[in-house]
Amino acid sequence: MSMHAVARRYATALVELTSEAGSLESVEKDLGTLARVLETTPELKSALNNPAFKVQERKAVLDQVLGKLGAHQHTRNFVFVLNDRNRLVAFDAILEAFSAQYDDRMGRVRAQITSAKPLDDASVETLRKHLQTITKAKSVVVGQTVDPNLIGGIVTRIGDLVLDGSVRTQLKLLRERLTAGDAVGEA
Amino acid sequence: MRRFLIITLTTTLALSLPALALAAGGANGPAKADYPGLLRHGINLLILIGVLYWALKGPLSDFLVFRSTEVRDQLNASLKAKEAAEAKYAELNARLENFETEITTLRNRVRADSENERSTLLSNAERAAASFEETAHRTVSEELRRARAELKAEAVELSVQIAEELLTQNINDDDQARLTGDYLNRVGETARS
Repeated sequence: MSMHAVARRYATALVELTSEAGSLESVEKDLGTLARVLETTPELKSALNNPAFKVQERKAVLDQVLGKLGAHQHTRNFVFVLNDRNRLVAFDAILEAFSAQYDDRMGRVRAQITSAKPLDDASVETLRKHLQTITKAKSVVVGQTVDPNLIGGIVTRIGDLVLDGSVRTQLKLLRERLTAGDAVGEA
Repeated sequence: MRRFLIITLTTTLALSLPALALAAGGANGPAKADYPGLLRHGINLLILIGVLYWALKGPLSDFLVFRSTEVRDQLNASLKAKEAAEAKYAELNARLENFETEITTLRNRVRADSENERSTLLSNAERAAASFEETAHRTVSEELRRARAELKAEAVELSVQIAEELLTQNINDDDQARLTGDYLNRVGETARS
């Protein structure tokens, strides 16, 4: 079975369980926090995925980390199950599948905004509202990245939808039009 | 075979009788006219002639008939050959008489054939030349079009590169703010539509 299929199965089980128990939001926050911790401490992530350490040893470490994070009991149990079954290596994929299902249930969409220069908060908020109107979502979660290669302007991606207002793309379109002979007549 | 045996015996008998007669006469003194002997010789000769006639009548007749037929056939063949030779002679004679006319006709025909051949060759050469010319025109046009397209593509690429460099170097915060504002307006219009 592929990693994505495994991740979807674990994510679906977790969403259904925590929805019934009313702990869905807490678990979503806990998993997001744990993901950031693992991202910022690669040695911890490496140790948890290292088969040289016994399951009990890894569980003890996880217990301490989750305790310090104040994680919900359902979060702790789920992470321990992953550890027992040696599925922590699929944690990122499971979290991605879980977030997608959580967003669906909550009517939330995620937008990725890329700009040549950092945007001010007011512009981001304005854009977020426009995107919420366009997608008819209950809420829009915005992620931001800066890419100087855009030269200028903004590119926003929401799923398959791309709103491209970058200078780089404008130059690319100009090149295509000029090559095709739209802008310059044939001699 | 039987006839051959009879002829042989008769001939031997006829030839031996005069010898016997001569031997019988020699013992009676000087020779005298022997009329009975002459009569016998005459009879023998007549018998021999009769036997020879009887024996040779059939083959000789067949031979003569065969020979006659053969001579007649040869005469007929010679007659036909003579007629053919005369006809050929007459034809050759006639042709000889028309020789000048035939030469003129032949010359005219050769001239006409040569003229036709020349026309055909010229026509083919003209067609080939036209085809070559058309191909050359087409090739030149295609090369021109390709060169023009390559030049244009290079010019476009260079222009866009220069534009990109100029924009990258000269775009400032005000431009970024204006671009952001334009973008938000367009997304807002999309949201309202």
